Amino acid sequence: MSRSVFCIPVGGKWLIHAPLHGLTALVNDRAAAALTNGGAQSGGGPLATLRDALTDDPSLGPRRCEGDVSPDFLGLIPTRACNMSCVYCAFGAASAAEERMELDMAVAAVDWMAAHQQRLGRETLEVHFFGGEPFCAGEVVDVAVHRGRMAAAQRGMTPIFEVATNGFFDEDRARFVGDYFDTVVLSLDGFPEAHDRHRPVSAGCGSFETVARTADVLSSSPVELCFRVCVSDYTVTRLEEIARWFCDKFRPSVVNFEVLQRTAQSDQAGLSPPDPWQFAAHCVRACRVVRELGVQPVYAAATAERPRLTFCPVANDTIIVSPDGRVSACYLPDSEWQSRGLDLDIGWLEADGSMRLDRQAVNRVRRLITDKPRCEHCFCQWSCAGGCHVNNTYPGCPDTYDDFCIQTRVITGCLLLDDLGHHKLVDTMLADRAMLEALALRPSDCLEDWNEADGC
Amino acid sequence: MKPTVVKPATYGPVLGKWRFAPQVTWAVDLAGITVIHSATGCVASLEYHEAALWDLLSRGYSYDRLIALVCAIASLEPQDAEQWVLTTTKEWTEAGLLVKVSDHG
Repeated sequence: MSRSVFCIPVGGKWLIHAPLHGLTALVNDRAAAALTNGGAQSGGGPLATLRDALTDDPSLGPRRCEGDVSPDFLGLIPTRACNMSCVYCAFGAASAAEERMELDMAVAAVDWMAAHQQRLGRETLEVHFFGGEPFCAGEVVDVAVHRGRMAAAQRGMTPIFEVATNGFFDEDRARFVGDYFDTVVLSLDGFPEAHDRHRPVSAGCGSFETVARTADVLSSSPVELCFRVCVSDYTVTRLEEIARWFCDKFRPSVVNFEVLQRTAQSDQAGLSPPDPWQFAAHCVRACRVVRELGVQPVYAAATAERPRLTFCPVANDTIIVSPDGRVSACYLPDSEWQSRGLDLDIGWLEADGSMRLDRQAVNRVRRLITDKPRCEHCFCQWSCAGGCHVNNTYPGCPDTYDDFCIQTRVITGCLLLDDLGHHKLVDTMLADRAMLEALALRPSDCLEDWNEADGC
Repeated sequence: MKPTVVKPATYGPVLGKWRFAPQVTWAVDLAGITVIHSATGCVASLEYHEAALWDLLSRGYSYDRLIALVCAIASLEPQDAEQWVLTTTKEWTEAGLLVKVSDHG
């Protein structure tokens, strides 16, 4: 049986999870033992059917990028600068250079992507904007959007635009975003007081009022509005309330929960990442609240449409162009990945507009996904895929589970059970730390490694 | 596909030289922008580059910045961009979509 068939302890039962087979089931001790030692032979009955399905060749295995560079989207960083001073910013945006991408560079990047996608036979031209705050270089965004729409129209392609933004801009800009963008990832951290504590414009000056106005404008537009909620120790216990309030007050399509990353600034502001056990429990409950209100909940490391080899654009051939023309696989500042001994640059955009991709660098980045010893026995490896290559599973990172792993394993297990309809079992587990520890701290989830002594 | 939202003529500021005719509404669509003059029944499908110009006009850019952005979007030299903007806005004015409000822009 494949090493990608997992058996996870959940409150006295076992969750059989085979992501590459598209199969999840809840079984008891005897069934787990039978699946492991061959006791469930073919010939009839649900257990034999389950075993047959698990011994089939998995059909959903993702493929590593090979051959021509095949990006799903073009990433543009119009500027690293930002008009806010979020206390947990890991992008160094508050102190970033004011450098903005030249308009001609944005045009060249979009033109290259359109032509490249056409050569690959793609039907969409997808551009994502990152920062800093992209709209601090609003002209760059305007030019890239219109050039992209024009290039797509000329080629019979569908243009798709996405932006990750703080939403701190005027109503005219908000209406432009609503008109021309398909997806907006808007950072909104909670009730006004908590949001302003997390995300001030400057000391003593909050951003909530303006951001909420942007959310209102976007709520009445056709855009897919995704709230990105950064959760700290200060907000974690109110996550369900916050989630409900967001869905009542605005019209989001998605609410995405993620934890604060500790920085010197966050320490100075007296904010910390939430306790992973506490975050996991509140996140699972908040996901339920959001889902009941018809909105899609997301905890990115547990929510994958299909099995994947990488958590993010890195190793997915994504082309991300910085204001200075560097082409990278990651949108984080280069200093972040350099501090981990990584080189995620893969080329550059020449002044004359020609794209120079370094083949060796592309292949080096593609190989990053193959070295994740921490994930080798983890049932989340095909959904979390190791998380961020820079912050979670960087080369040489410890191979023991960290806080990110703990919360991801608990949340993933509970969401799988919720999907199967075992809500009461999830409630029981969330109230029992020992059950959560049995799930989260288990050294190997591989069904092959299960033995009788594991019986609940 | 993403649905469109119709914009009334009062939406957004307009470059000093022109304003949108009061009876004009428009919607952003996949190919560009569709403009409708409710009094005359005129329907104009603006493809690119015209759609970009219409959007930029609605967003209060100064004339200099508008020309700079048109240069980039349409790959035109500044004098060609300026000429094209003047020609296009003249056509839109003649079609009743724009109203010229001043010669001093």
